[in-house]
Amino acid sequence: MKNSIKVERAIKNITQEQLAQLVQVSRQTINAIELGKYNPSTTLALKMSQVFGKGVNEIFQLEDTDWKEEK
Amino acid sequence: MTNYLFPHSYKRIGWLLFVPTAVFFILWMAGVVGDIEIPLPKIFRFYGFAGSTTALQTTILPVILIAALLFIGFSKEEDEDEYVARIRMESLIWSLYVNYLLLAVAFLVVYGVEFLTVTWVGLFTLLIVFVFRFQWKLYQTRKLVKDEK
Repeated sequence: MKNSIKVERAIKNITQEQLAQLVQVSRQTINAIELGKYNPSTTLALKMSQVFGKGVNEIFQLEDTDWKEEK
Repeated sequence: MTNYLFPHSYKRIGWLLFVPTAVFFILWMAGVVGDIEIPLPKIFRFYGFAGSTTALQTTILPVILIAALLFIGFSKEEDEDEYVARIRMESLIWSLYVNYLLLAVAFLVVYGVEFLTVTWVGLFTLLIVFVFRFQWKLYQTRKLVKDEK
């Protein structure tokens, strides 16, 4: 899964720390999500969607590798 | 969601209990200090063990050690959130593997009465490895973010 949180942050002009406070998690969590090391819970994804005023689909996108290979 | 965790303040209590108890256990196992004799609880004397004693190391101290390790590993972190919960879970699985790997090796290379030591240490390795792996991972993720500033 990839995401455009970094871009959305830039548009909204907020830091990782500020976003972390808005969605009530630590800065490490935002950092790990941006680096693709961690997939947020549905709850957290929806909170981000609310903060950015965009649909979850616009912030998070599936990649080919998210699907099991067809046999 | 995370109602199985102790309050954050228990973590400090855990470390305060862990350090002296662990140091004492190491000294005990190394033979530097001997058994600290304590009288058996009254209930045992009733069954004819009158005047018998037991050692502090084999009764109360293991209980303190278990409580300490649980407090350290399962207290809310200051920045507790879903990512911390993930790191905790991963550390627990990781330490489970390490614990049984060590135990399997011990089964193959330690024989006879020496194995008693293995069983003793083995009672705590799962929690000890978990606590140190978990704290190390937390330290790394926090440091990664700090360095970026």
